[in-house]
Amino acid sequence: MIEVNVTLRDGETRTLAARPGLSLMEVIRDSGIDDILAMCGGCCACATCHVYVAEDDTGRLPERGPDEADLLETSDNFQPNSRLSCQIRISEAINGLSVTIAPEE
Amino acid sequence: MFRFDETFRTEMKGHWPALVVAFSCLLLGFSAPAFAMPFIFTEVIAEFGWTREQATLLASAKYLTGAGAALVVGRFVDVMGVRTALATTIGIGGLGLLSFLWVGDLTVYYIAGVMLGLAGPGAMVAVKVLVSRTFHASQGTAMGVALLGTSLGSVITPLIVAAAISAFGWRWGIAGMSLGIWLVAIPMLYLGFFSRAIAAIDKPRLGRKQTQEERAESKAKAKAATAALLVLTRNVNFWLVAGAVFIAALVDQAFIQHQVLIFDDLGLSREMTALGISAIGLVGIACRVLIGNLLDRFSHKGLSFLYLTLTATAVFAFLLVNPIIFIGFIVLRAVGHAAVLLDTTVMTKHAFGLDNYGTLIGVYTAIAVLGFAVGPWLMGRMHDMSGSYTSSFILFTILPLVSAVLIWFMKPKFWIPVGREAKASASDVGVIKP
Repeated sequence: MIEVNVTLRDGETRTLAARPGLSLMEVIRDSGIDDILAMCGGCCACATCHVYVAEDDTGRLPERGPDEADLLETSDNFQPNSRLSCQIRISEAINGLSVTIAPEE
Repeated sequence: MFRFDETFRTEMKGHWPALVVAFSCLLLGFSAPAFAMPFIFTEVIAEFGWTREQATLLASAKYLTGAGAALVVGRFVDVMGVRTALATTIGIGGLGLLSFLWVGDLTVYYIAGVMLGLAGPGAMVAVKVLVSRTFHASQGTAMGVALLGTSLGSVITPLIVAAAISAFGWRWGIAGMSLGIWLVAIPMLYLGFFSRAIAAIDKPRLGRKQTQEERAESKAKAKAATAALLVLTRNVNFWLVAGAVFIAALVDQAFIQHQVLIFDDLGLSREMTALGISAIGLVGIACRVLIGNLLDRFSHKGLSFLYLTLTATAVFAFLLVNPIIFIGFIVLRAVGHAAVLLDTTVMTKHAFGLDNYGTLIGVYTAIAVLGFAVGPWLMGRMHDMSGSYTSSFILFTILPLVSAVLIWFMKPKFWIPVGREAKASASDVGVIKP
């Protein structure tokens, strides 16, 4: 089973079971966490599923796409380890990934 | 591949009367007004001397009203219940058809168009609600069966209306198309065996007070949908799909509404014209499944290719005197129309997924219906300005190319090609453990 560790805005960390093929945003949302809005439904049109990837894990993810980079760079909470969780595809390669949900815009 | 298990069979066996009602309402209440309309134009032009622009503005009145009606009729169904909503909408359509008996000027003529515009989307939405509330395990199949009512209507209505006009004149011929509504569809909703099946599943909200929680929930839902829509309109995909479906709908509907006039210009008899239009409906039914499958497999690039059939149609329209080209025109019209019928539903899902599907499909349907309203008027206007269809055929050769380019550049972020999906679900097996 693939697992991801998600730190919520109140500081609580939860370990979620993730199904390959889904996006990290879907895994977080389907687990009942309502810290992320994901208003566009995951089509990379908003930045409401913004997360910070743990420094050690950033190298395990593919580079940001141009649309994702554009959206993140306009965010007030942008950091070098910022990612949109809708653009992170669950696979064995990211088993154990740790992310923190970014503050609300 | 197909699902015919016990749940499916039980549901079908228990609720088939609702399906018969849905089919009949679409055949008699939706198709008769929709597919009879192109046959009216030649008659009013001959009787009143109106221009083609003036005559085909009836279609614009119908579709502009339809765009508005599509946005509010869902609420009407919720409040009044399916049975009342169906009877009201198809009844208005029936009155619209009857009103052609008294048409004497453009005002009355366009009011008839408005009535037909209220009827079409109203009946379609009410039927969709009826089927969705009644069928669960077999919803897709049931909807397919209900929609056969429009498919059958597209084939038989042209033949019936042409024969009725020849026999009784255009006013009585068109008014007579409402007989199915008065004698079959509406009585079926209120009398006898079928009405009991509908009454059992009908849950009108009228008279039932909404709780504070329900009110707050629907308010919050509406707010979230509006916010999501605002976000999505900032995405280039939104406008690529909007532009493509608007233009394609415009071209498609222009040809549909001007079909009889175009064939008339060729000197075809009314019977041959009806046969030609009926053949487009028949080929359309056959190729709808194939085109749906093409879109599943090739998504936006497949649609881009299919839009080119609209361009080819416009090119073929120059050469319709050749019988081979005429047959080719019929096949291409059927393919192009089927692509336009499927483009919004499939591309919305491929580009944006299912999270905001309801909101987006409503918006794109309204955009496509606006295209339906503009196309016939534009073709009529261009014809009247130049005295022939040549300039509009040239424009309508180019417009689908624009649609094809727009949709080519769309990014289908939620599209999983046929085959890869099967492979993906196979690889999922055993991965998720309870």
